[in-house]
Amino acid sequence: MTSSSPNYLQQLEASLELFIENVRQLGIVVADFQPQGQPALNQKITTLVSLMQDISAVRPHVEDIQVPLEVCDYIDEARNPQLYTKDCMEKALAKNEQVKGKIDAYRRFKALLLVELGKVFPHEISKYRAYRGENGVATSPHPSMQMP
Amino acid sequence: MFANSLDEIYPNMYDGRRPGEYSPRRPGENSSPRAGGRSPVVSRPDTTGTLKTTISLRSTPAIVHSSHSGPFYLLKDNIKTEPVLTGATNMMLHYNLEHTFNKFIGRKVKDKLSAFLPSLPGNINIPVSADGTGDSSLRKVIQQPPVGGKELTLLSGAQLAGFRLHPGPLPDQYRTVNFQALKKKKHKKHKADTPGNETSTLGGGVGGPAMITLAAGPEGPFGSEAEKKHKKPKKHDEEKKKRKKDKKKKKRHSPEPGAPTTPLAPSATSMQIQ
Repeated sequence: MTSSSPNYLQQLEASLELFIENVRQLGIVVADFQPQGQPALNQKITTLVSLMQDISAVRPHVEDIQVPLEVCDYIDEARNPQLYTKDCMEKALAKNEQVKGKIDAYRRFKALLLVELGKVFPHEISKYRAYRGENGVATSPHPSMQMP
Repeated sequence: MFANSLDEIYPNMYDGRRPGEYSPRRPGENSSPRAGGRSPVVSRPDTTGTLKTTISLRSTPAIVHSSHSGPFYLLKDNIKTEPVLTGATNMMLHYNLEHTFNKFIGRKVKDKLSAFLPSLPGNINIPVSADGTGDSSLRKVIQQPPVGGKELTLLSGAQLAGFRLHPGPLPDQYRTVNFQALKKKKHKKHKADTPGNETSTLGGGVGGPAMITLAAGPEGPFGSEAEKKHKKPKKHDEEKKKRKKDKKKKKRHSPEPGAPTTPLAPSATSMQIQ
């Protein structure tokens, strides 16, 4: 999505809007056709073909855009597709909070486990702490702890 | 967990051998693992007091510890020091989505499609299920893509002659819902355009003509009540106008200009109306 230029997107958007407007006008002309409306009908058809050519010309520049299929469902139901974005963000936020809660719980468990292990194995845990650091992240590998 | 206790836990672990019994690798020996051969990892010089483990796959498979001076085993050597992105971090902040988050979560997003595409003409707030055709969904376009890949060329005059239509309106079966909706809108517009009823158009007129038909659904009972409320003064206005006209007529035709016509006039007009 990032490689497609916004100019092409605007061009595509304008072409699509013009196309839809022309189709609508064509429908009105056809719904109650009058003989004197034949030139206008021909002009509308020509305009539609030229607009389709424009859309086809823009197509290779916007092919890398990926659209979720669920968005199509929202549009088919005449709903605002921004609601899909909103729903996705709400779900992402909820999942983020859920995972953060789990990670925090595991961190608390680890701290508690280290405290309790330190009571039983003080020497080993002190070495472990020196090797892994207080936060459980290795700062510098201890030579005596290296595995072959 | 601790190597010192391994002898106590697994007395037969070494299969009669002690750690360090294996001879170091001979020079020129191939370093690739072979069946029955020693792991090349074991051949490192033991200068750091590390825990070395060998799994023997000979006639009697066994785990052999060459030396175990450290207090830990199964401790991974290649610990990643770089912080890994996990769910503990606020992803919205990490990906700079605060603005988008506030935009969608803080405000109320309108449910209608026309709110997202205000520049599109016509009534676009009709779902596919209520479209009448049932085939005009975007999902169907993706699942069954239309024939494409051909070059698009403008139609010549002779080709355009094929689009010559018969005059007259389309049969009802070919009229789509959109045109019916348009007709309804036009009808309502006429009602709204009548003098003295301009305020009633505000409900449907704000969102343009496309909003009228859909807005009439949920606001139906309230809209009708509002119209009734506005219609009542409209009748009064018409009555007043007629009364005034009658007064003028009476003034013109009455032979006595100073006659007391005012108290009788309302009753006369009301009789005429009835």
